[in-house]
Amino acid sequence: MVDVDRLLLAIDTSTEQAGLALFDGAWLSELNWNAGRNQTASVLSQLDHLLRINRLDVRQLKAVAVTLGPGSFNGLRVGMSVAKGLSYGLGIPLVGIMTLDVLAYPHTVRRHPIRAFVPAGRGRVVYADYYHRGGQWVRESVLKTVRADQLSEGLTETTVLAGALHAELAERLASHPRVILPPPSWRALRPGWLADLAFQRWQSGAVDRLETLEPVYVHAGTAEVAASVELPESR
Amino acid sequence: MIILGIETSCDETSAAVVRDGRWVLSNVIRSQVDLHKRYGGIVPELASRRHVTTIIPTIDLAFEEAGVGPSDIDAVAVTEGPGLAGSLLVGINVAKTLAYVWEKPLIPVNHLEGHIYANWLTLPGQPEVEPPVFPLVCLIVSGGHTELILMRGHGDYALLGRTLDDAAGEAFDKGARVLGLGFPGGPAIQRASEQGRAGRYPLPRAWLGDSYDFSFSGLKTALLRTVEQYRRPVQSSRRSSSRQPFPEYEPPVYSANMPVADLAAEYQEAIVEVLVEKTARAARDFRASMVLLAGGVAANALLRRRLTEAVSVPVRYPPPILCTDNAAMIAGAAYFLYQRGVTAGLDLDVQAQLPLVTRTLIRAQA
Ligand SMILES: [Zn+2]
Repeated sequence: MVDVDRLLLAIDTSTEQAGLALFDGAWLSELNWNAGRNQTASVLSQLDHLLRINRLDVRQLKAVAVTLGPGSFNGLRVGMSVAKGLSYGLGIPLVGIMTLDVLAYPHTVRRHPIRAFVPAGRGRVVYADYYHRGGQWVRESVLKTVRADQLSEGLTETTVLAGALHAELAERLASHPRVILPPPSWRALRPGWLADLAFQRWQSGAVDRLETLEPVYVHAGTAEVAASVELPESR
Repeated sequence: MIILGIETSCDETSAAVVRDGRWVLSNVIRSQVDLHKRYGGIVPELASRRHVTTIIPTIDLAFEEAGVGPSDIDAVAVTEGPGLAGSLLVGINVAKTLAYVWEKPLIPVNHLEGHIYANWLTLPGQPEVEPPVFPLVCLIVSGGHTELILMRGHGDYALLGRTLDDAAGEAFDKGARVLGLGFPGGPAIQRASEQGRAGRYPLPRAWLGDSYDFSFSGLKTALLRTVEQYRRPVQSSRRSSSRQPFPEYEPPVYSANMPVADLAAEYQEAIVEVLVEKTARAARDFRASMVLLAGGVAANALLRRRLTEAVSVPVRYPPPILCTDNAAMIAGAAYFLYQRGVTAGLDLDVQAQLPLVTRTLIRAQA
């Protein structure tokens, strides 16, 4: 039975693999598809489909969550525009979550540091590091852009890599003595993880402002500083 | 019928509420001019980013100023193109979402059609604007467009001519950059022209035979050649900007004796002369009962005056606030589209290169 008093919709269009999830704290329904660069044409049709197959109406949503990036600039704007439209049109709260936090979240069950990354174009990735300190998971504040094959450079501890990789590069990185590379399905950007994280933020009362929330835009070759954030542990 | 219109095709975020395609209840425009000034032109990526933060407050204000709420509107209209892809998608996704959750029809509007239909609109508190009379010739002149259109009824367009290279507004922007007058170029050149006289430093006009097409890139090149002799070498004050994602504009430096005002006046004259001659000829050839001006450059005073002098039928142009990009014109055009059954589904996509649907026209029968 869906708890419609706590029904949250999560939207992720940071990468070409788009995703939607419905979550009420216990129950979850997810939809993933390859949107290519055409998220505008598909997101709302897919949302309508997801609601229909669950016999739900869009007006039953009580909160909406969206990934903030880093990721494709236009992709992020699609998700943000739809999320803001839902928040404004339905009068429901909006929660933004950094895309890298979503990727890191499932790996917080282990105590190894996590390096989460998304594609940044031209064979590059942008990543952030997560450490377990004093009983809390914390994201380092600097986001770095490197070539994907340099992802294992500078690791001083055994670290979990989280993000999508080509099979050949995955094999090469997995052979690095300090790298733990989980199977591809565990490294995928799943909207369910976003929904779970956002639900906890929403329930704790930490929602974002419709007027000011915007994506995180990271340019290749630059180091972007984002506020360091505590991440709840996935259990 | 009350329509909420949304327009984000370029660098203005706008939302408006319009009744029956004629009465503007509100028309909120958030201009980004200050954001783009330092780059000497519109930076598409920055324009798209600004839309993301301003779109919702703009819509909210449009409702407030109109004194209506979501339950009072009958449809949501949005610009589907042409324009900047990253900017268009913000308006399109928000409009689709609102139409979806409020269960209203969604009406996709061609930006150019919006500009034309600005001529049907009456602003709040203003005397009623009489609807234009067909057949009419409409000159759309803006930063992105220069099109001469014959309109024989609602939605019945024939393209008579268009620019083969730069748009008229783009020509103003480029000319202003060359002369170091800043952005946006149209108002800057118009202002500088007031102190100068056209004809002292002649610049070429591209007539392109007896076609209704336009070309402005040669004019800019000629201006560049003329100012070259006054150019002073400049030591860049800024550090190498190659690492900056959006390099800033550094204006050229000229010797003090460069006739900036005369050049600006001649440059403006050259653009206006060609626009007026071709529009006036089209009006005669097609026995138009009216000539409409539309688009940002329609605010140019010289263009308005010369065109009015050159044609014998009435010349109409919207007030300045409806000439530049705005959502009232989108909501206005949407009313006439909806009368013809035009709506869009949830899969409506960005059409950055969307052409105006036109009939091909056999040469004018005078
Ligand atoms: Zn325009």
